Amino acid sequence: MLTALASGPQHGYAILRDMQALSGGRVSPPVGSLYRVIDNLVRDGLIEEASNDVVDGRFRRYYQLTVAGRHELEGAAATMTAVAAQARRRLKAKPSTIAIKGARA
Amino acid sequence: MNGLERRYRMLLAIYPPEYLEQREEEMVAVLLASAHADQRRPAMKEAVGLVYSGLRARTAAYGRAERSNARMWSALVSAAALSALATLVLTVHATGTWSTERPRLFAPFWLAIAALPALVVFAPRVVRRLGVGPVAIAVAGLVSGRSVPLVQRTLLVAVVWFAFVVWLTPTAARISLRAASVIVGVGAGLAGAAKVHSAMRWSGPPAAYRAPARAGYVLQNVFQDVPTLSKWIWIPSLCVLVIAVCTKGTVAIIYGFVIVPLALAITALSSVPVLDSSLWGVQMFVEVPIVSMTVAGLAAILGTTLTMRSDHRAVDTTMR
Repeated sequence: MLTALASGPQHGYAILRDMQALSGGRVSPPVGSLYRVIDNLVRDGLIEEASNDVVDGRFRRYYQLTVAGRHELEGAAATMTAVAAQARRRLKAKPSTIAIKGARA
Repeated sequence: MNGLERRYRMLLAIYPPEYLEQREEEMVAVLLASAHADQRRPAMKEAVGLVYSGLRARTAAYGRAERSNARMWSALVSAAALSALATLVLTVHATGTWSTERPRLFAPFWLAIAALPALVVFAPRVVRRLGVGPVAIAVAGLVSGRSVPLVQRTLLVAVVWFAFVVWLTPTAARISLRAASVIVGVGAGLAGAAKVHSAMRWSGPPAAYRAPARAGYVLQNVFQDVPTLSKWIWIPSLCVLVIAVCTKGTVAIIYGFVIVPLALAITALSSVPVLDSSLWGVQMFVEVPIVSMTVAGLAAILGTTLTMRSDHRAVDTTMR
């Protein structure tokens, strides 16, 4: 969700669509869960309400990252990059070494 | 407002009013935007999500530990109450009468107990302010009226009240409550055992009976005593419930899978009057399915509750 808001303020439905797109359709939370997470993030000070408007007679509220939310996302992204780099490095290791280690274990 | 929107708004009514004041319109907008063009009923996924999140918002007044206990508690108690009511309905259907003592005695009690989880969920402030005790006694008193003897009613309500108080009590106090429950539970268990023993001894068959008739006589007498014995089984089992609420974890699971089904099976068997031997046929066909359905239902509810908990926790973390 923080990634969905990284490029600027978004409303609830746009966040939902963005989360589906980012995860390749794997993460598609029900609206109830979406708002529970929004509530938690607002409570923890990671996101905040930005503005409201009405489109086609429907109320929309926009949310944006706070400074703390930006830091949180940067930290999480750095961790993920490090883990991904480790995974790539280990996958490049010779298969024979892994097989010998496996046999010894 | 079309049918879909009206149905979604009805589901949203599960949330507390002050929450809806802030969020209802934007949630309706998101729900409708994510629906198909020709959709007329709420999607199952959305409906379950709204009910779950709505109940979570309702119980936000309680702390985290209290809430996870509340889920377990409400699932178990509601399942128990519902299955007991099912037994009652089937008994009345089979006997065609409300006049037997036992169903009348159990119906109000179970209704009162079934109402408690609802109160805990929908009136958290009232419950926290008053304590569950007075609420429980008021509900039980109002519902049961004069159909249950005062002493029994008070005893049953007191035990339920006790368990709820434990549930709302901080950890330190739970230790002493747990000890007290162990003492009461063991005491009631011993009293029950003594009662069974004396029932067996005094209900010995007349000397003139031959061996097969003697065995039949003893069996019949033991079964006739089950209704009077059931309270001695309920009291220890409720004490175990208190202990389970205090301890959580493994004990709670043992309680859910072993003790509740056992107690339910015994209550179910005792709630059809066995005095009338013509009911034996009905009993075999009505009670056995009820007991097995109860056990299966409890297992399912418990399993679902536990799975939902881990699922939603996973969703909460990964979604960030």
